[in-house]
Amino acid sequence: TRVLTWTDGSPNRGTRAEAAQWFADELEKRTNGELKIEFHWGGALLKPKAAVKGIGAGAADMGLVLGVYNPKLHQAYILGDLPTAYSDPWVSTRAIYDLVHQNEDMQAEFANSNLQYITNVTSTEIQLICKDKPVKTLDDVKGLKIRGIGVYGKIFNDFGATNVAMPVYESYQAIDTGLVNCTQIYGYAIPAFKLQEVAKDITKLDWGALLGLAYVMNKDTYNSLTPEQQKIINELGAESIDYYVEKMMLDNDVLTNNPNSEIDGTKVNIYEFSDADKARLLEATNKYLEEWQKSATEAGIDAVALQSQFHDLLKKYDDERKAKGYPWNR
Amino acid sequence: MDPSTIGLFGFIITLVLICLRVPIGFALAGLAIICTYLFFGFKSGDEFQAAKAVYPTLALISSNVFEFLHSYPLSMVPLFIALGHIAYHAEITTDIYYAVRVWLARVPGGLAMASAIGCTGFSAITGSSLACASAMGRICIPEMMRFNYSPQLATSTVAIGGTLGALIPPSILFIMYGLFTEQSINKLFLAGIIPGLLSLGGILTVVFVWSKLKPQDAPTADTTYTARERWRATFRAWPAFSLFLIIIGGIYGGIFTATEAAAVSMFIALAYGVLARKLSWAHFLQAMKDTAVQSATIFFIAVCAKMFVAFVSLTGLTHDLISLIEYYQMSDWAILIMIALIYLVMGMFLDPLGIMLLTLPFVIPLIEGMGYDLIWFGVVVVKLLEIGLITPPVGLNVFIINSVVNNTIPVHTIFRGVINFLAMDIVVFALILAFPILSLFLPNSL
Amino acid sequence: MEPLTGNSPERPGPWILQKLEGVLVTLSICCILGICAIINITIFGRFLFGVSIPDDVIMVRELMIGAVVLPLAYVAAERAHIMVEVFTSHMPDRWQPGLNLLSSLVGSLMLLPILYGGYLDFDSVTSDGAYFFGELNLPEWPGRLIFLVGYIVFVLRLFVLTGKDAMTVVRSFTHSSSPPSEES
Ligand code: NA
Ligand code: NA
Repeated sequence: TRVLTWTDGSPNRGTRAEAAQWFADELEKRTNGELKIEFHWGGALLKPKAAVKGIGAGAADMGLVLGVYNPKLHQAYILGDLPTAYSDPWVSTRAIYDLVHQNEDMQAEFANSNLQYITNVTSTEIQLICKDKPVKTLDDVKGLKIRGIGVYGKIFNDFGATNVAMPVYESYQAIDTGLVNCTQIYGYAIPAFKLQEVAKDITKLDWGALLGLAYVMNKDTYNSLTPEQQKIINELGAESIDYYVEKMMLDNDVLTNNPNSEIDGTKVNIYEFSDADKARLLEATNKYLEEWQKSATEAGIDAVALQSQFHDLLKKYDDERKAKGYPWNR
Repeated sequence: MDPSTIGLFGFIITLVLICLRVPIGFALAGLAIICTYLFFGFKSGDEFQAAKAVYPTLALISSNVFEFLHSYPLSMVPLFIALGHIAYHAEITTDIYYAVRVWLARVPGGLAMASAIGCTGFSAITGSSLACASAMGRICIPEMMRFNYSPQLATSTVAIGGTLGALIPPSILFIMYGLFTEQSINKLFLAGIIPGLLSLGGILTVVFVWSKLKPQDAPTADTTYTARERWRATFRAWPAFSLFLIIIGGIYGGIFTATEAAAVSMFIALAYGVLARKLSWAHFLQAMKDTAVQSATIFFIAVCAKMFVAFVSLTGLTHDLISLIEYYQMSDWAILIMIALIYLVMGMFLDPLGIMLLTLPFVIPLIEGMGYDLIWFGVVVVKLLEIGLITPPVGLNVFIINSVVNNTIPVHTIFRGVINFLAMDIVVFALILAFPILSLFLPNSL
Repeated sequence: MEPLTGNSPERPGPWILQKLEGVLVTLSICCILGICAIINITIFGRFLFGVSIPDDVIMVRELMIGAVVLPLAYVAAERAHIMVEVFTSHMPDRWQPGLNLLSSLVGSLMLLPILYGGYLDFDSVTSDGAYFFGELNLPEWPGRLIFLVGYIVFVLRLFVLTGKDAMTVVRSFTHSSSPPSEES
């Protein structure tokens, strides 16, 4: 048996942890116990920001890396973090997974960090959770301190909030101590981070998603596996997307389908932005799309090609979803 | 070699080094680095691969050191340390003590009681027990000696009074505990108040009984104070009260974060010191220099412990330990008592922060598994660590007091005095353990 | 209020190193005051004008590195790192130089990997042009540089201590017949 260490900034509970555990169980089963995964949750081994370099250097064999924490190392990949008109989690995750596999700039980017891309996760739609002051319309964000990540944080800023950039793992303390009034969050992640304990007002923005979340493996570790093992990992990576997304969409029900407005027994208030406000948020992205194009081009990436390829893939999977529904419902 | 064997050998060597006066941080870091290196070297098979292990080791070490320090909430530690040093040099600390002293002048053991209450007051504006013992020792012990108190009573009261420093908010130990266990620092601060006051009650009781049984140890002074003098002395303590209000009131009123409370109170103490002409430039520099040195010392230990914790995480030792305990089917109480004993034994040799960071990765999953409240457990841990500060052979508070009096009172005399308080402290600890409501009442009423 | 030690001896070694340590402690003080200032300005800005310093959280984090890493050499020079002296204080005086040497040797050796790791990190953030994703996209190199400087001087200090301690041990062997000198 070979034990692979997995570093993950996420807590050892909640949707993402369960999904990763499923990956580990399947891997062990399909390799007949040849490969086992040992998890190190909560950044106990490597802090989220240090994961890319750490996995690349072999301090962990595999794990979760986020593009937003090291934008310079993921110039191409962070395209996935920009909101698009396609917010469906299944459509967008499938699209970016294919994009990483098909696009040469993407391939080179992961190789440069000595990483083998295994599969993609998504944050799912971005929502807002606040303490004390509910945000019911976009104008309510004025004057609030909001933990926002990447472009999302910058756009909150554009609408008059003060953006505080910090990893999602620090949100609980930040809200509890009042360092921020609100934090950007995702439905399934609220109970995992116990945020309902410190913040009761949730606003549904249904805005874009972070797609720059990859499960990766150290390239040398990957190359040292047998061809059969590599094949199993690749297949599992492709399959796991449907599994993750279904699970996340189910767990996102705490927001969409929650008549009692309770999360883990705690009463919360759930609000939703008007369609007009949602449209304003999406429109505010354009400026940053241009910024991304510029810096990606400077880094030697064919930004236009990457973008149109991504767009085509999004459209392809959206059409498939419209025609056939989600794979788990077929 | 399997990780548990590496870990065990490493641990023994580290203990030997620590006993040979190698700084705790050096020993822990050395252990962590060598063990991590061996772990990666043996990882991919039976043969040791020296070259392949280098980069993973370096990546793990340096990222754990840097990312740990690169923290916003941890910045409240140097700020609260600075507050303590500034308050001391601006005589804010002294004024607390005098305010209490004039009221207790005629009570048996009054000076010792005033010292303990003064420690409590200073605890409310400083984050560290050692700072508390050091500052109050300088102020109170000479006073008690001047009034012919026995050296034993004079020194041991301050040594034990100092242990309130980390129980009564603000507290560096609670800050670190909260960050490691993902618990609310605000709630931890609040949870420490009642157990802190309970501990104070215990100290006062012991002083009272001691002074009754051995009046020669605490001669009653014949100085009397008029009501006017008493109120004037009380009023002089306003800067301390204001700082306390800013910290506690500001946090619970939702005006400040704990970090902001640290920064604001430090700024106000500085401003008061300058405006009231109590803080000279030389004193300011001394206070800041001590802050820098002390912060560096504390964080160095913390970082070295963190490196070791990352190694422990790598080995899966935590998991083994939990399975072992599950295998023996120990009852919750047996586990709690075992944990308490481990803390008390470790407290005999190590400093509180080091112990806490080293043990939490093992202890917290156990406590969580048993379904206990982690806020309450934070108070339990801090109280245990505080007891460790006064138990021989390594009682840091006792050593501090010994150095405060320039070695004129031997360490064993102080330890002998401390024994009288220790029994009461164990009772207080038992109450905290048996009645979680004592800790949880305030945070839950928020 | 003294730091965690009793009476500390004069810091040994070349004056330039002593000077450097003094400068680093002063810089650390500036970092602590800087943290205090940034947070206070943010609070008063928020209450009075409804504005705040952009990326204040990132700046505080960077200053934290300076605050707690820069004084390390000074602390080592004062032999003020927390240690357990109960057992060794009962050992014969002639053993003490050897114990000092053990401390500084262990310290020197354990610091080298941290220093090298810190150098690799600094090198990689500068060559990547890494920055913090915030309002100002602040570069990552300053914090890494401060960390590196703090550890370089820390290591130099421990090398000097190791050299001094080794010399004392050698001297105590060559004069083993003479009574223990007053410096131990
Ligand atoms: Na305190
Ligand atoms: Na002790």
